[in-house]
Amino acid sequence: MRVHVVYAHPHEGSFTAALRDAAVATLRRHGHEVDLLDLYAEGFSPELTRDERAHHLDPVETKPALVPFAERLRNADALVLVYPTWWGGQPAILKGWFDRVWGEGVAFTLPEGKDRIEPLLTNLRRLVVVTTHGSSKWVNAVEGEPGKRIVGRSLRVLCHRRARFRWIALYGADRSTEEQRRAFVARVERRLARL
Amino acid sequence: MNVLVVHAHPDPASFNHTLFETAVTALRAGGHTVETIDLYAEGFSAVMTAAERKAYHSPAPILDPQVARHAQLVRWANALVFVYPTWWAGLPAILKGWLDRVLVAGVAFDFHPRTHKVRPALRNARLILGISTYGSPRWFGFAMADAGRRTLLRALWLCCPRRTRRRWIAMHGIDGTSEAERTAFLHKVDRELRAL
Repeated sequence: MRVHVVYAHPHEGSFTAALRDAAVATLRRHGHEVDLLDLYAEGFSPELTRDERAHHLDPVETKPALVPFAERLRNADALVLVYPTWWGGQPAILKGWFDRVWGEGVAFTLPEGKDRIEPLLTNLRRLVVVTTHGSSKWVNAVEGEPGKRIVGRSLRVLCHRRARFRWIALYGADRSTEEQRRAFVARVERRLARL
Repeated sequence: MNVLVVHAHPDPASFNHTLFETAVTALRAGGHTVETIDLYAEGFSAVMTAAERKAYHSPAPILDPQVARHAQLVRWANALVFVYPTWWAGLPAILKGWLDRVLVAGVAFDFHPRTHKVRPALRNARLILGISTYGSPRWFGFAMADAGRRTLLRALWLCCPRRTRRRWIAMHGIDGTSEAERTAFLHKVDRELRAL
């Protein structure tokens, strides 16, 4: 499969960077073609602009800054997101990638005369999240897992009808031991081996 | 009360911006002391930098003077009011980034020195109030899970004293609303915030 890996962490020496490397290496080892997008390294600007807001229903082709990101998304069979969970959800740089790139004409379309949007990213058959939570699973359950819901529900309905959503998460990362982190890397490798 | 109103919409001519102005006027009319942060107008950067990430677990996690000023306003406020459009069921990135960068240890929470568990630190907060517009009709909003509301009324609320109240004022299906419906919603916001 062609796998688009989208990675968001500001610090190259982080545990999340190690998870990215493990994910990419595992996918390649199993014969997948990986297209890695490092949002921080690209200097991606997550704030939807006034102009984009005013023209949010225009085709993406009229927004040159977004075209390459849209093309990479359209060319993938699977999407793997690797990020730390902050405030229950994606870091702003990744949330902004949803806001700006997953727009009309890329992720969905609103056909003339209809009041329901139709999905356009039917090329995506797998949607995988690899993430770490500083806080415990219990705290995240109370918070209602906003980040999980955005990907598993809001984004998933815009993919292939039978697209599979996989959630690979380490809870309590702030207080985790070296051993727990190693075990989590192994879990990421095991699960991505069976993409 | 001391009220901090945080607003996130790129277009000052938008309905959402009118909601923001209506909310501020109504709060002042109700006798509250109001401070505002208009994130787009201030050119706030949503992206937590590598230096900030490295300082996150240190005793001095705030490096940017603009972030320091916002953090001071958060500590001062008895009510936190958010006015924004819901995008992809969640907060616009600029507002999510504001949480990421401003609500750090020493502002919204503390790390316990020994166990490293997070403890609430928004001691002045008595109310969290969200005013949001949704593009999708209500049923679709439910399917989309309302993640932004959960972020503010649950995750952020966990950093407040337990008696802190929560209010949500939402307008669904904004794309298909009439002028009259929008005006009625503005009146509702005005009425509710005056009576706060």
